[in-house]
Amino acid sequence: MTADSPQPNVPNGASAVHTDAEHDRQAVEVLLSVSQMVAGTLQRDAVLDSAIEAAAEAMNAEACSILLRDDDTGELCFHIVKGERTEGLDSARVCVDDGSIAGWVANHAQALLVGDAYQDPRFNPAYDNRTGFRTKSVICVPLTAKEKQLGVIQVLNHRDGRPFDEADLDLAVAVASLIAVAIHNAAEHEARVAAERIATVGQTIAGMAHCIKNILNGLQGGSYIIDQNIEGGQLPKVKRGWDMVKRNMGLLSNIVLDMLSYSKERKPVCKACSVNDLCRDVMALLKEQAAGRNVMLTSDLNDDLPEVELDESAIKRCLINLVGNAIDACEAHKGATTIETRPADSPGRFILCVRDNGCGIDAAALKKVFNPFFSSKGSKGTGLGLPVSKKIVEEHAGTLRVHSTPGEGTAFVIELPVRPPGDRPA
Amino acid sequence: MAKALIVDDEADAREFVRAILESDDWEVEEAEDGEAGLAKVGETKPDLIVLDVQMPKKDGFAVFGELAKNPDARDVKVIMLTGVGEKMGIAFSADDMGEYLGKEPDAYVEKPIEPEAFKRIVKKVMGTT
Repeated sequence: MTADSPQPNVPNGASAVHTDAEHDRQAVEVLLSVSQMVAGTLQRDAVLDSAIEAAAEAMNAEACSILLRDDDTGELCFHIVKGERTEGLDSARVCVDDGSIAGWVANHAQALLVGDAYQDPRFNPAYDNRTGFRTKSVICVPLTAKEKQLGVIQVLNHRDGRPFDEADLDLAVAVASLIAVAIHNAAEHEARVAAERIATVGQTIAGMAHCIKNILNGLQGGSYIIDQNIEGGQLPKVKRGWDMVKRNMGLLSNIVLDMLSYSKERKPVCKACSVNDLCRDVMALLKEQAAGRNVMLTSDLNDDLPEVELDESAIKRCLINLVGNAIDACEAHKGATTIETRPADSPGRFILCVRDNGCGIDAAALKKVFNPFFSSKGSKGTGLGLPVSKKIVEEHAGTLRVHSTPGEGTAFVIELPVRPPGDRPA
Repeated sequence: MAKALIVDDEADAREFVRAILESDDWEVEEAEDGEAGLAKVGETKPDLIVLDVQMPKKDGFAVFGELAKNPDARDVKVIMLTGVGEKMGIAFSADDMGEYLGKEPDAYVEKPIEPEAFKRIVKKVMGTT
């Protein structure tokens, strides 16, 4: 450790005891508060957010950062920072071998207290130069859980202006161990959820294989028909074969995309777009499917909708599923499916609704309709379309609800925020 | 000209089998579900029925069961199309099916269909190889 740490003030014996007990009580309170803050959630990003708040508060520090090790490359990178000057730091990568306090602590797996950063040869002023922050004293502690180093946590500059001391270091080590456990638990939880999703997909590969085999049959069929007729130049028949191939390629694409969407956690990549244009695109895509069953496909799009920020390809996938289902549910030659958009009753949100006048869903099925691999479409259904749609909508912090009357029809109602919530400043 | 009836709820599957059979000079009729299929058997009196197993409302096994009981359909050959079989690594026992149905279909063909193999099976079933 550094030579610079000052000794705590101890005027006389009695005060010293009182100071120690008071100090211990405070420390316990701080640890309790940290523990509650980080244990409140299993979502990794939320844990990191809480951790940084808790640590900065507990250590009374001007700035705090958590750097985590990349599982693949072993590089330490800034995962989250808090403090007065943090622009330019959010995605900085610190090489573990780098000259830096964080790198040293990670490499040596040892907590470090540095009273005067600029006097310490391990300190790297590059990050100060990037942000304009002036580091005075630093405490850096490895984050280790179950014998695995997750990264390090750093606190900079005590708000009282004094350098950090040994007591601060002890507290920081305790705080770091709580935070490490919370991060580890969140990672385990995420891994479990992901494994469950993949297992679900794996379990019913047999069920989906049937659907996929029908598609392969369609592709074989189309190819065969083309082969039979291409030598003889029978163009109309060749066209029928080619249409069959295209149709089944579309079905295959949908299944694969749904499976991929379902099995991964995916943060929406939101960009400005027009919801009404998106609806028009989906209608164009599904026009042939509707025409094939002689089902009317219409829209009721509200012109007052503002420009929104969405992951366009994800919401499109969602709509394709809902509208495709609606068309299939409608009775051939009589059915009608409508896509509606309008602002929601709550401010900052809007509604996307897919309505059909088809067979409707009975109460028992309505409860299971979002379960994976529950399908009423026989060999055509994969049972993933609705769970995937719900997942996509929820990843956008929206809701997907269904209302249905057997014999009359069904409406799937998506409510989404106009802008993604929680846009964190850098 | 020999007459065949295809019973399958998938339009593409029906078109595929039609293309294969027509290339061997069969006259082909289609039905898109079990009930329609049974009705068509009475109307057209086919020599061969290609019957899909997985259909909504009335599946291939149910249709086959009724055919087996119908004296008019006694001589009709039946090829069943299934999505389950060796290609999926599932051993499909014809004996089990025979027991279950009381009578065995003349052949099982697993999807996706291989056109040349299918033609051979049809010839074998019709005794025309």
